[in-house]
Amino acid sequence: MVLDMESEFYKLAKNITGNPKNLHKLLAISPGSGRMSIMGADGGIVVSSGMLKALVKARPEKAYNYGKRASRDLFGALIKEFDQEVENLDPAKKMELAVGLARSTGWGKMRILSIHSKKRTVAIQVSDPLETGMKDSKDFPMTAGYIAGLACVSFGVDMVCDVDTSRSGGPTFNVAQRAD
Amino acid sequence: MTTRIALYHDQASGERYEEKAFNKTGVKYEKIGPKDMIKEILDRYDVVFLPGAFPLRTHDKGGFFEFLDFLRRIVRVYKGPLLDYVRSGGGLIAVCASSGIVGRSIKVPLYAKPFTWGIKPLGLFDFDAVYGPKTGIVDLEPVEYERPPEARNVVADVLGEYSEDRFSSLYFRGPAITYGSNNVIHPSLKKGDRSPDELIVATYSDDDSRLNGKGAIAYKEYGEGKAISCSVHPEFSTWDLFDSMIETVARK
Repeated sequence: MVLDMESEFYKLAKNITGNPKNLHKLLAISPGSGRMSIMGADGGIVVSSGMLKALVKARPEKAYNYGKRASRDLFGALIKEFDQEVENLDPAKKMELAVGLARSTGWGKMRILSIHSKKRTVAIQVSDPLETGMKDSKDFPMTAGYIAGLACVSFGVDMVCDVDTSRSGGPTFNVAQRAD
Repeated sequence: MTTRIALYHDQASGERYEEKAFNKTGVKYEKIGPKDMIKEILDRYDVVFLPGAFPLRTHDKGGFFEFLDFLRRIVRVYKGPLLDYVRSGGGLIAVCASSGIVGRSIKVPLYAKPFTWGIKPLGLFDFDAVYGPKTGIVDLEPVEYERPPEARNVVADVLGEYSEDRFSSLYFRGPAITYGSNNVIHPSLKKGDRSPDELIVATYSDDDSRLNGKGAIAYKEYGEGKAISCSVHPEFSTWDLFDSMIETVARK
């Protein structure tokens, strides 16, 4: 069988984003600046747990935007780094990679409930989201923003995320294209 | 003085990945094509990079037969100019697919065998190469030579900061290299009493027995020049590894 670069890149991307061990291997932190690179996706920065708590406790709209910007920057840069083979994938496959990345980097135990490429909707259940233990209120705006940002990069359009806390097993994050 | 770097490209080359690495580290380079592969032009550069290649068509280049042509051109058409260039002081760095054909023998996957019969590698290095079994991430282990001290210095020069510990790199079926069966110590090093002209500087540390313990990065002094065979892809994760490689082989 001839080496199929396209599927090899996808397999590689999936392997890295879905496996904390491999992600760790390609994660470098500069001791001087605290800046972080994952496979050349430069520009991340390590923050202390105290600062993270402060960000999580920001006003919900702000926390949502922090999360959204963080995932758009990181996942957007990572996709670009993987190259066209991954950039040209179907949005659903890109979203799978994105969820793997989020899971591996501590945003909670995520489970994809559904992804519809044509309808541009995603449902993800997260047990133990990032906010758990950091704030008293049971809302999850930063995680919602983070998931919305991942979907924005995957689908190439602006997406919004709502949280449904009524289901057992953890809050469910429903993402859909922003209605103009 | 700035190091003059040439990056080879043609219809099957994967130079886009080297370009990514160079752009990150700010390395200045010029792209050269098949018509530039003559000694008079190569001599204008301190280092020539031979990138890997695309076996299937992607990015409007590559394809199986183009990939084979890429290998054939290097070993048949460019052999003389490349060897003359290194012999007279030039520096050569071959990456992934290209690194497999700078040794003395190459084994290719079964599907490619009928198409590659008769391809004789460059013979710049003394190693035997076998294209590898997988794509993904591999761990590399710097080789710790007890003697001679020059061997330790070469490992430190070629790998730079990465010479101090095990490191990971992306890998796309590059060659596993040995001297004979499973031996990674160049014959000239066995006596340990002379400065080596060829040695493996890093080996694979991997679950796959076809890679584990085999050579991944090799260094060669050839005439007045130097060459490095790099079977992994540092461009994605350890791109600054190219800095120490360039510094080591560049024409002084």
